[in-house]
Amino acid sequence: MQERDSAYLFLEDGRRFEGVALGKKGVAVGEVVFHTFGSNPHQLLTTPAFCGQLLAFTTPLVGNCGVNFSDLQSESVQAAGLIVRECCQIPSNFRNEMPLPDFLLENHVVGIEGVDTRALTKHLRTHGSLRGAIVSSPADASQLLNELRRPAAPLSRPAGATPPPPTGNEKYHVVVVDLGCCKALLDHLRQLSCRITMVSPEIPAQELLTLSPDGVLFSDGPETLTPSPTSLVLAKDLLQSDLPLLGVDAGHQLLAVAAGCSLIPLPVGHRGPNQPVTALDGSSTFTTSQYHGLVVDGSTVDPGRVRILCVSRNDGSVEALSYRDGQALSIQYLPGVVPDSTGRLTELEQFCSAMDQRKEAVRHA
Amino acid sequence: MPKREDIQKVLVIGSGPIVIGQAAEFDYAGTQACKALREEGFEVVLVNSNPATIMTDKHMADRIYVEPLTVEILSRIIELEHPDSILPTLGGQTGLNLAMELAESGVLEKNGVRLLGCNVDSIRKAEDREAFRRTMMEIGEPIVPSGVVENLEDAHALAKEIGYPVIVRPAYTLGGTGGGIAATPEELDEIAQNGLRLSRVGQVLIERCIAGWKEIEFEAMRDASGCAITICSMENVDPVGIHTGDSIVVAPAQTLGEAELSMLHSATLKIITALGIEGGCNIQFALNPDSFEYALIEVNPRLSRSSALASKATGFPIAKVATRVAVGYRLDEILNTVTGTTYACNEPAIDYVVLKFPKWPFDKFVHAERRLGTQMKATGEVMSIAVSFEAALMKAVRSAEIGCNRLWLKELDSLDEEALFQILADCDDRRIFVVAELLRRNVTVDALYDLTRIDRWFLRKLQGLIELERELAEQPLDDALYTRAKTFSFPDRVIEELSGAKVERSRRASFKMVDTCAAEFDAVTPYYYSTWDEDCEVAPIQGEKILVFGSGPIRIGQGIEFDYCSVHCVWAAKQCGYDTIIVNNNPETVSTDFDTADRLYFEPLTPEDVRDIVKAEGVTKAIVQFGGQTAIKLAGYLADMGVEILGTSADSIDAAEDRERFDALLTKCGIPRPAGDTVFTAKQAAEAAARLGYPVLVRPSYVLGGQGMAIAFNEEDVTEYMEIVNRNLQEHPILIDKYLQGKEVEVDAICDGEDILIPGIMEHIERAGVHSGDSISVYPTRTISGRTKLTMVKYTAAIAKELQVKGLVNIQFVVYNDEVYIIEVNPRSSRTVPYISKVTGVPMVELATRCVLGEKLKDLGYGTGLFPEGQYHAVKVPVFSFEKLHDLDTQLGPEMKSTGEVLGLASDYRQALLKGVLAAGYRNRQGNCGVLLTVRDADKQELIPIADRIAALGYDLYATAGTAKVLNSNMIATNVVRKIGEGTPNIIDLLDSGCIGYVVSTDTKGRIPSLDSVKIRRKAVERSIPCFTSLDTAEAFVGCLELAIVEKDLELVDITKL
Repeated sequence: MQERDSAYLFLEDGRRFEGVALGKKGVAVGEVVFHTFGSNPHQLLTTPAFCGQLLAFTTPLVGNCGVNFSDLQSESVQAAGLIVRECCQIPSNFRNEMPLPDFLLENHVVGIEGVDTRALTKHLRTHGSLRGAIVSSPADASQLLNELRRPAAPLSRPAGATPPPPTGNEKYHVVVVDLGCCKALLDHLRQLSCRITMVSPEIPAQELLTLSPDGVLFSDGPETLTPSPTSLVLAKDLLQSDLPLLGVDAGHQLLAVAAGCSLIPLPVGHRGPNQPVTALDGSSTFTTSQYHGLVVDGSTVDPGRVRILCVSRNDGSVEALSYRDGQALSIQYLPGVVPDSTGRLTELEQFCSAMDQRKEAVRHA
Repeated sequence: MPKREDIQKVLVIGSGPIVIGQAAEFDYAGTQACKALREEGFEVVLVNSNPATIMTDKHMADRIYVEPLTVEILSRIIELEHPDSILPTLGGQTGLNLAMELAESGVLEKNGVRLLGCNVDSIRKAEDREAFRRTMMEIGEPIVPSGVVENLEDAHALAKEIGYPVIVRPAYTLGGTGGGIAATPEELDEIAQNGLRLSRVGQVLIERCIAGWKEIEFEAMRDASGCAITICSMENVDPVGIHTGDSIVVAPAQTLGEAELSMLHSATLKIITALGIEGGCNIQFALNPDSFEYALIEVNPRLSRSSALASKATGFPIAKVATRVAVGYRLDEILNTVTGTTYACNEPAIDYVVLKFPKWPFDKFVHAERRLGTQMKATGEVMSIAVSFEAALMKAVRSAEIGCNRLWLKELDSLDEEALFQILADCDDRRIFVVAELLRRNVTVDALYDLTRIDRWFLRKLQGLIELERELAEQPLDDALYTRAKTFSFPDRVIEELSGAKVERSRRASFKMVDTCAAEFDAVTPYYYSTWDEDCEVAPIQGEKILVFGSGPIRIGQGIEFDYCSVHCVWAAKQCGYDTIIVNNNPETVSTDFDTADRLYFEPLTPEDVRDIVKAEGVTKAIVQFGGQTAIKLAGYLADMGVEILGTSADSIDAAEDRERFDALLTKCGIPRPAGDTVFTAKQAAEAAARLGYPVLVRPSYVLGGQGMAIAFNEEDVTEYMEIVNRNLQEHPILIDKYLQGKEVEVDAICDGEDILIPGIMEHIERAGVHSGDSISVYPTRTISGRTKLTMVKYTAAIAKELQVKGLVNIQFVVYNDEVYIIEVNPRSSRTVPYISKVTGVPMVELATRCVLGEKLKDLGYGTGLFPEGQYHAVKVPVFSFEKLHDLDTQLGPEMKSTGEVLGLASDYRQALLKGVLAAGYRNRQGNCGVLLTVRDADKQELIPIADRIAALGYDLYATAGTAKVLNSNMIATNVVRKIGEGTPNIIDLLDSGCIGYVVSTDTKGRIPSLDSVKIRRKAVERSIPCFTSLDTAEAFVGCLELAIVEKDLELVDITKL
């Protein structure tokens, strides 16, 4: 077996993990986050919400099935680097189009393999969010540490996935405020017969309204404690309109801030498809997929304007909010398309029925 | 939704005796269920015919009935106890079927009893093939093209329509009993006929054979509010076609992309919702490896073997949670005790690889058909946890105790490629080793994939292991290579063997925790597995600690009884103030529940693996006598490591096993034993036998369950057995003993080094020669004189003292011409400990553990010497799994064949026997049928009075010429039947005609499947006709028939009141 080059993962608190180089050789810097499920990193690597992060997998064996390009969640790799225990070199699956190591090389992703990702996860869990660097080429460790300890430069917002072309027979027209939208969300909208128009969060509400949408969806994407002032204005304006709104993940956080709530960091981020969420009306608990490190501070929710619908069963943090008597909703998790085992309507379905109602009301008017 | 208020008293049905397809996993499930119910404050009534279980322990339930698991008996218990609910989903297929029958017969309704966790409708939807198909079609879940038929004609028509090959599965059977793949109409004839008979409802399913698709399982859980989760996915390494119980299984699934996984995940939740299950459920899918096409294979609306595996694989206590869900709790209300902060609604996340490896009985049953198919053949399994597939597989292989420390089977070395390919085509149990051997011979992954349909990913992993073996053999053993070998979990022994170099600085494993959440939350589970990472999560326990061993996989000769003993040892040591650490690798057991001992290590039971635990924990004391032969074997290594063996010493254990030392010991104590000799070759054996006089007993030393043991009546037999024994290299001599056909008596004693306590003396119904595990055992003794018993007590005391036994000792005696001989001494726990503990009320393992820890019997409150006999008669009856093991001769002999046991308990001996026999599944066919007799010459005279009694009961007698002649000449009217090969109709046709109710066949010549006597006995098995291979058993059974008591008159005994 040929020897592979060593690589290191440095954390800002000085902890160091050793492994071997994976993908492109070089240095990758970013917030280190762990994901507790899954073995096909290509999906998450291309999810805009992971933009600039070093993504660690707790699942020890990844890439067994290779990369399938239709799984990619946006046009390019968004995460800054990949940390795994073992990456499969020769995948085996009928959908495999490229081995993961080749995909990483082709997309210039710096990765590290052979890391005890359980030890890393435990470290992050106990020490909170940490920045780190994957180094697979010679680099000055002390310089690197100094750099890690400086506040991170703000990242530019990544472009979200490209929406599928319209068929002309769609029932709804949905404007998606693109905060870095993943492809899965657009696919869901499409399944529910939505024509999609993507807009930047920096456009004025007036301009958005000229597109005459049936509803507006604030997409998922990278989180920020301080949303841009123009995007906040847009969210506030739309909250005052009568348009059905749905905020997802970063979009949820933006709507919440626009409605007067504050964001705080979670002690341990929610990243995985097994996050249980409980409806406060006592009806059910359901499993959701999430990826976030910030959360709406429940104590800043003004009950006069916003109602908390759901909380995390694990840590009680805010998961879903309702505005304007449910005509606008925002959720921290990714919505499903079809009802889950509890028979609960998904938020996308609720969004669609809100659009139906509004259309009905407009027609009667 | 909290606990339901309308429940007060719950009936729990156990799964009965251990048989292939239904093993210790249901003791684990039942034990968790009973504990959970009692914690909720419910009164628990438990029924299980299996006395070797932990669930039937006094403190597990309020009322415990060790009674035959029949509808009649259960109805009576319901009428007696008035439970308001039944929990039917934790007792395997047996429990579920019984609950269904109780519901269908109106007993539940009449007594106002409801089913918890599921309803009749949901069970029917999942279990009845037609209803299942309809339900799945309604919710749009694909199923394999198939149909249900009730006769052979329809079976042929349907098979023609679907297209051959077809799979035949009988409805309502476990482990796929009676199923098979038919490639031609002729094969269909045989398999379908068999299946129709074995099905409880006379139905078989004929379905398209999708052999070669991936077999994927999901374990799921749902509560009454509709919240549903999956616990984990599992992937069979072997594709569809090999029963999942006989497959190597990995968790989580490895060769499925997120797209396929989420598709099957959604389907799982949809199905559990459609079936309305409130509790656990296991769903098996077949997945086309080249597309998204899938089909449902099976849904088990209950806990299963896979649930036990999923439970141990994730740390999620499925049985406990399922029980709490069944009594009304929501998943989001049930705290995950592992994390202490999350709830059962959180789907577990796994940050390691789990592998299950089956344990087959073919090392013992050399003549049994070892081809794998839709009918399960494994008796048990092991599980391993590691951070790579390679390490998991290496650990599992050495955990299985098959004499392999790597993927290498010596016997394959001498086979050519063609022969190896043939084994692969036959799908026998050696498959994984054959694949490895072919890879070693440079056969390509693609070629092997075409043959086996084992995913290339797995094959490449095997190739990597072979590649590493090669590197070890060819390259100098440097640090890098050694480290790589360790991360693949190669033991030092294997590394040294392959490289020829000495491992200078042996690396020690570090340990990580199984925590249900991939470290997302802080967890406190004391449940560990080894890795080779720097980061070790174990901090040694601070207090006084003791290492206790489980007994590894369930196999014939070492079953669930030993888990019972290990668990009780742990409990007793805890009571005495010690912290306990348990090591075991069997996912089906109570011992591997993470809350049994203070710490659980899920690891192979080999010297090196145990050494690493000893070092990590700083262990200085260990107890080995409760974990069967598996643990005993570790005693010497532990002692060498400087670990003190508490209780009987390693040296004493050896003194009992080593022939010469044992002989010297008996001589010193003045105790007679049958004359014997030790030999190595067939020639020496024949000479020794001639000197001793036939019959003789031939056996290897240091064996379990009489493995390889046989009685030889002539030189031919000696030659045959020596050939079989010498197939494996024998390190120790082979023992030849004079065989005394006397009364066999067994004693389990507790000793503290000075005094002994014998809770009970057991007498076997079958004369010596039938393995004690296969004999019907009776307590208290009935034919043994007081004087003989005193002799036995005296001998036991002498041996215990001489061997310095501290703890348990099991001694087997034979009484021949009023003289007491010792045939075996085992200074350890034994198979009979659980049942004797239960019927005498002496907590044997607890007392033994206290003695091991230094307490004295006279202070423990149960006295010394022979414990007074109880008022109840207890009859232990063995249970076999013959219908699962084709070509295996059912003739009982010195080599153990039973997989489990049941107990009959009554104040009258004959009733106790009848109950035992009923519980073991012998149907009482009152008259209207015939009894076939064919016995060896030596038995013919003895048969006469028995045949007379059978005839008097109104049965027609049939016999082969020789036997019939003797009977007819003694005025017992007997029909003569032609032997096989004497034209038709012959004896086989007679058995096929359905008019024979019982068979007595004692011809004992050889075990080769082509022999007539073996064919007759196999035919009886296939036709489900009880077949007695010893006149003693037959006579006892005739006694039961004469008793003329029906089930509804049988006395019911609550053992908590003994």
